[in-house]
Amino acid sequence: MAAPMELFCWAGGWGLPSVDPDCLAVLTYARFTGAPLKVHKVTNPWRSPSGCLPALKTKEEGVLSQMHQIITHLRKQKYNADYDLSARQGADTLAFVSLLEEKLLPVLIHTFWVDAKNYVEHTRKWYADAIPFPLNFFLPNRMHKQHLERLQLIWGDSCLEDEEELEKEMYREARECLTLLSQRLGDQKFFFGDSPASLDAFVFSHLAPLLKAKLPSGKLQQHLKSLQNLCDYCSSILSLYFPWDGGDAPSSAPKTSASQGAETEEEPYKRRSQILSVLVGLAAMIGYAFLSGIVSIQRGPPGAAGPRPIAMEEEEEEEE
Amino acid sequence: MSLVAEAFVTQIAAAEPWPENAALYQQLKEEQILLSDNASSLAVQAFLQMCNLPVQVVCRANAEYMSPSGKVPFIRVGNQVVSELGPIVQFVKAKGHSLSDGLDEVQKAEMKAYMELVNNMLLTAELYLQWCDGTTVEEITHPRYGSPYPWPLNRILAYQKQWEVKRKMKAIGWAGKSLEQVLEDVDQCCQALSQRLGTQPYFFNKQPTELDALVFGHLFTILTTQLTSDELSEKVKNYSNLVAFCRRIEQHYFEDHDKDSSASAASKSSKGYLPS
Repeated sequence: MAAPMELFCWAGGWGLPSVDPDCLAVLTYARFTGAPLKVHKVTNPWRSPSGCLPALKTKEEGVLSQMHQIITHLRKQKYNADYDLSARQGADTLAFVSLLEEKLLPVLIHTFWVDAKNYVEHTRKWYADAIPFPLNFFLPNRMHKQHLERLQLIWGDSCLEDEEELEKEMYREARECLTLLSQRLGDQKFFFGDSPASLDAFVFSHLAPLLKAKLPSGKLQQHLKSLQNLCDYCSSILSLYFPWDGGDAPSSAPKTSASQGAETEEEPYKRRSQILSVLVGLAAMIGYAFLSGIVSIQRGPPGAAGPRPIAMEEEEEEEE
Repeated sequence: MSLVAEAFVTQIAAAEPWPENAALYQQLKEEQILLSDNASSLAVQAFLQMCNLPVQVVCRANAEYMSPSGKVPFIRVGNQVVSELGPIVQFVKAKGHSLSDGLDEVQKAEMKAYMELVNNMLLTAELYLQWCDGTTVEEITHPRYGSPYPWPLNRILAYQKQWEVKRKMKAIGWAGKSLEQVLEDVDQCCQALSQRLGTQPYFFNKQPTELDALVFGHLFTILTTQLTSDELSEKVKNYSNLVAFCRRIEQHYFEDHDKDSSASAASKSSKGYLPS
């Protein structure tokens, strides 16, 4: 592992190092295992080498784009958080990850991206502020449509139309899933004792956005907040492993060296668009001035050209 | 349904005992049913057997369309129709029969998690194999799926279903997987199940639960169904305790029905018994 691998992920917000659960899972796993990753926090998915986030650029296998693939790759590179687990605990990990993906993740997607109030007032607002011009006009909407389609395929078309039915069934199962996680965690520090494993990374990445985001309509959030051990669990992981980049909004300066690279990368863009807009404004004004004849350039001997037309105009004015 | 209506229905469900003429609907056994649907149907049958509730298996070509959620199998009990294992378990619980009452909270959490593991990995792998793997699609799935219908309806229905399944695979990120990766996932899933089962007779020691029914349904179907290649069943055969588990449940719960047993009935020229 001569050169560190490069990870492109969504920037932080709401007190988290990254707002997207997949990116957060990869970041957390990397922190747990101490994998040397050069992290680029971007707000523009088109800047990642594969076009979507998270993306890991490796020397051996090119660009990996799915969270599970990235974590498997890190494991193969000997950054294995599950090294100390027994076979039975490894089996439990697979089972609980499936539980999260089947029961909790779709409802999380619904809460953030499909629920009308949350989407308009919170999610879309954050992404529209974060993504640079001009992508911020259509990217959030496109992501919304993609997530909606994904939910329709998973749940069936009829389910999404009937809001009440949906809320009752799916949210109930998600609440049950949260309660089950809470029971499984009990009083322990992490799911398998005292050191974190990949299951902790998955659970944290799904729960933390739900816990930290200020959602206007948050039934699921309230249920999570009522499960004290899960809240403490998330806060302890945040304070232990992400003590200083508890994500500010990308416009203000983050304090870690890891994201300084990202900061200087974003700065020239900001500067560039500012300069560009000033130039465009100036060009528009000058062009209008020329076209409407307010200012004109006359070709004549240098020096004499200036005063003479003005003198002539003055004479004309005097005559009149 | 609003909460009040559902409570009302649950009351009615609880009030009526299990009738003699409960029926389970699935597609035609010999010609039409596919691997994944057969597995789900067998899981429900095993569950009802374990609860000692009699049910009659009825085969209809349009079972998929009759089902309230679009998935088979579904059961008709009295004048109520419930589909898929999860809701059926809850429905049966409302009637007072439950296999998982003796479990404590942590065990219930584990049971639910392992059931989701089977649904997430095994079922999705079965769907992938059936609908996204070229040879299987051409030789087995397309001919079987529309077989009760005349041409061109059979082709249209098959292509429609294939398109739908492929979209779903894309949405959950399985579209980019190769067959080897899918088989690798099946292997991981079987390994997890095998480790959880260990040397116990059932997943939660002495008594079978809905998890046992679900695992049995899928593994037995994989073991006894003939596909274009044996790779899928080989993955399961690697784990001897899982094979023994399936045999144990088959002998215990399905040995009464001999020839027309749904467990041993032919499906895609299945071998009808577990290979030793």
